[in-house]
Amino acid sequence: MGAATSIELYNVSKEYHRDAFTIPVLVDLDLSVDEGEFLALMGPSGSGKTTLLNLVAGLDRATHGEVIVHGQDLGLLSEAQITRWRADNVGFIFQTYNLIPVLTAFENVELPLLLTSLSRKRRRQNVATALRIVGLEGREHHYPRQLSGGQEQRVAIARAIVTDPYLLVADEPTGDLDRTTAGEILDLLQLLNREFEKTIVMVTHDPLAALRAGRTLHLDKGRLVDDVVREASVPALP
Amino acid sequence: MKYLHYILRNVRRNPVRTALTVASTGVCLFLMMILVSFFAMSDEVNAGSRVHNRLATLNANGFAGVIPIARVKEVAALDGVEAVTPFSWYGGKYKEEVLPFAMFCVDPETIFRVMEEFSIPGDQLEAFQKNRDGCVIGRKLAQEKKLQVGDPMPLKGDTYPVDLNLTIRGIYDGPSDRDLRICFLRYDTFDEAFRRVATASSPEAGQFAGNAGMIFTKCKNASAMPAVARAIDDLYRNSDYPTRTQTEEAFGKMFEEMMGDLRGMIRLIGLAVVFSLLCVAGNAMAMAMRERTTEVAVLKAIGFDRGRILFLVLAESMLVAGSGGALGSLGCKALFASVDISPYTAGFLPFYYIPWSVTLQGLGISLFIGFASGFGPAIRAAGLPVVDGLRRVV
Repeated sequence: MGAATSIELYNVSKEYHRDAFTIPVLVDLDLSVDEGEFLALMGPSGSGKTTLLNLVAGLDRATHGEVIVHGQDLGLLSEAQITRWRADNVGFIFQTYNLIPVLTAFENVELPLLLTSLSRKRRRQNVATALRIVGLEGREHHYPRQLSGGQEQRVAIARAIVTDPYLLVADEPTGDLDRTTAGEILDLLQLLNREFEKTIVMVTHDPLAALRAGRTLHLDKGRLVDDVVREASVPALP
Repeated sequence: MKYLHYILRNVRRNPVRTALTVASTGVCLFLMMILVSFFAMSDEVNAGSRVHNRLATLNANGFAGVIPIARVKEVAALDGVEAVTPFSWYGGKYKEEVLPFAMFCVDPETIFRVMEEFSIPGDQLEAFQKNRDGCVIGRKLAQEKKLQVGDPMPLKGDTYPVDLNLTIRGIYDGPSDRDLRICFLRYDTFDEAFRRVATASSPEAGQFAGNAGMIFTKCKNASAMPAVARAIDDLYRNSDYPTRTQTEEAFGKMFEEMMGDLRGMIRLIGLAVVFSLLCVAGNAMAMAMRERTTEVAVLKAIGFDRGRILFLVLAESMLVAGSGGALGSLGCKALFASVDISPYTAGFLPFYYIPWSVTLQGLGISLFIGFASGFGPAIRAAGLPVVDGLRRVV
């Protein structure tokens, strides 16, 4: 029996309007992603991969079609409901980490938990756990400027997983990192996918990074042009 | 409270900008407090004078008109009157000093019954009443000039060509919101000297002799005041010197009105200050939020809703402006509570304080400035589309 479906897109289109022009970014896209899948999105700039990621993460809305994530049709949610839904279900990892510079690593990771009703003690426990998973014990009180790029991205990953979300979305998570550090971050994402069974959707330009995913989608001009499923993703870079 | 540390960190994010915004708010409100307090304080003091049941009688033409001294006794004889004193401005200087203090010619027998809030030791009052060269000064004046009972008080007349060599016979005290820098001298001593000098130098000047200046009447109770006031004015309605009698509170307000529409001017200045502060604080907040567009988008992406973003920005803005307001308002109150400015105002402001009502008004204005200046940036931040805010990321 196969895994349950995590993400379903039916006939999804996305258009942007600039002055008098209508720019199609995604065209009649159908997609199905299973729970616990590690999906890489590849394609040239302007192919629509980040837009697809935004739709799946509930940051943007499709012009046509249905986007269903974990059984929820995102098109039916109000602005407030989709914000709450993101807080409960999605963890975000950005290329440039996007940590709050005036907060320590601990406080950055704690931010999403402030939206919950967890006690201060429980929040501390959860943050400590998340930082331990990403290997940053002992750096809790460091500010982002006191951390390396790789460490900053680890903090960002800890922030993304601290609420134990169902889905992790990552946009070029290794784009600003050197090869070795990028490998460590990809190791961590693989760990989260395998050990913690997180569904991960990652946008990348790096073919080596895409090899870490179990499935790679190639987009071009808003259309799905290739869908590669690997038996087993590459465990780690040498 | 969960967000307090984040708000505080944001406030301290750009310390120079925050310090400048706080300082500009603080300094502007400090100055505004001084201006606004003048009338608030006057209102408080005027209202406080009600309990003393006093009437002030002037010539109907104002301060320049004459009130014959004989009227003091006539008023004292009216029903409902407890005590009466002339209150004539002497207008002189102590020794060679440039900044004068208030000097009034009064009746030594009644002045401290009329001005009942002032206290003076019995033996000193008796000495004042028995010695025609005597005068009584306020405690603040005595402290400021290091004067004691028995010290000479040479006064050089400016308004009248009469120099007086007096001796301090007593030092009076009173509440902090009363003038404790007055020199009370005896009306009879002054008038006698003035008649002598005026008659010798120019016969026309003699017409100003026997002028009580104004009359302060203490009534037996508040209910008697309207009738006494009416009786005084009725008594002199058809004389050469008709009078205008009003309560001390009304007299205080009339005195203020002589300075023109200062209240209106101060109100306009206040509005200009608030508008300027709105621009300063609004600009600072707008700059701060522009720099944090991506951060706001990240917060919204991870689940911060519009309300929370609105709250965070407004709280930060109100905290910055409120800090300036607290600094300006409370600082102004503390300064005037600890420093006596009366020696530097030539008797014009015998005391000055910032009423709590004005202090709280200042704090309220600063919070309003924080709210109003943060509202625009807060609305923009709350309405920021996440995708636009993140730009090239997610």
